[in-house]
Amino acid sequence: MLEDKIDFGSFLNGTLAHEVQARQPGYNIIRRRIAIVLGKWLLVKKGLDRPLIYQIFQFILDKRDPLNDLVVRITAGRQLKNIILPFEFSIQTFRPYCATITGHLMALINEVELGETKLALLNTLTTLVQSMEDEVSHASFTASSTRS
Amino acid sequence: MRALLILLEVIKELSTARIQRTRASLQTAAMEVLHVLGKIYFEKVQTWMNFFQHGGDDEGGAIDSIEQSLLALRALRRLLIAGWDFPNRSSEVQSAWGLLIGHFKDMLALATDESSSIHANIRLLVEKHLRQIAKLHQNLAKDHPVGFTLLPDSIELITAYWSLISQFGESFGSQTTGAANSKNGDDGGDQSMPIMEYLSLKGLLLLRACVRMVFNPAQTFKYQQAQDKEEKSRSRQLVRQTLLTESFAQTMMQTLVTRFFVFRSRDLHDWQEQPEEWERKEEGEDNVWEFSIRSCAEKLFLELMLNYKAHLVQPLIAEFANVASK
Repeated sequence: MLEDKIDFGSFLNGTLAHEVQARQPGYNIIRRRIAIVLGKWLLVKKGLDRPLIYQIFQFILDKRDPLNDLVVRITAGRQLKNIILPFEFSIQTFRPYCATITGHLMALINEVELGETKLALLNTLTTLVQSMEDEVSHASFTASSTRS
Repeated sequence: MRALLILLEVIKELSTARIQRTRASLQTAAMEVLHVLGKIYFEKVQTWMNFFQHGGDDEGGAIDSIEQSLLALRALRRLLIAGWDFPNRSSEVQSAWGLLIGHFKDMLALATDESSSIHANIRLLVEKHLRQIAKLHQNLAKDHPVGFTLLPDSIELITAYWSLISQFGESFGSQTTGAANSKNGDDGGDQSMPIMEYLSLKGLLLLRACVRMVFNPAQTFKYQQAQDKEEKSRSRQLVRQTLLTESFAQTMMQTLVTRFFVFRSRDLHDWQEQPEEWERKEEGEDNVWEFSIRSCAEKLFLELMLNYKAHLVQPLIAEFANVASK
């Protein structure tokens, strides 16, 4: 079990965190895969570095980075749901990323056109609201009011 | 023929019924129907197999036989999946299973024999048999994973599928047409997908079902009886120790990444031009991804990555980068 943690932990902190920031063309493919892997991992692995994972998701949800194309962002939006489920979730740990991530997510929801996709992203938003309890409404109003 | 057609429709209805009682009535008749269907199927296959392998006078009869055996097979497939809660416990099912595996091998040899002189139409019909049997394998593994593994020769079967997959993998990346990965990749893919691709797809899904059975016990837990528990634990052990070893897992991961993770030009095109639809097909609710080799490979890889030591992760990321930059 301990070896398990070391394997995944160092892979996350070292390799994944590094690769997700790479800027070569084609790395959108990797960003998508990273989002999927992280989404699945958090469901089954304990003790992962959550702040780092939140940071990664915040990073790949940002539309301003051209490598975060729609597929990358939608994938991240979908997988986000898994990483903010109540299991092992701490409001305190997520709080620093909450406003930004919520803002990105809501912008994405507005941007997509396919009903099914919108619904899936709204599910993520619902989970976010549930996990963060009172804090999200305030954060999201702040975020959307500063959006142009 | 007509009787067979009617039987097929009846079985279809009963096996997909939502009411438990309806399905139970199929189960009570299952044994008898299996005898009848099995006999028809077997005899017809013997007839045409003999003809196409060794020649003969009655070509018309052989053609009729192959059409009839296909119909019988279609019904058999549904029957075997829905007719028993514990298919591995029935000796009749065991024999039918073994028989079908034998046929699968023979038919595959026939269908892929380049030097064979059989007519294209016949080859197509043989392929249709193969597709039915492959569907049987995959559906059984999905609906009765424990039963599947405990039926005779299942492990060898999966190993055979893997050789097929490996072989197919050699040419996969270079294909640019990608019929299976087309936008309408759902039902249209079924018959238009080349046979090796189709079988590889089913093989990947089979493997994934096995991995999930071994590592995600909760989802297959329907009954609580002692025998069920014992079978469940035995099958998990069997698969883990004889099939899904560390080294095989690593072989699989290597092959999946280097051969099947390739995004064909069609994929890349759809990603750019129709991002929402493409993403939905990959991760959406309705399992359309099951018709794409690359998606299946990704999903299988994910299961492996979650459950086996991540020895390969460094080289894998390098591999992703290679692939991404092509």
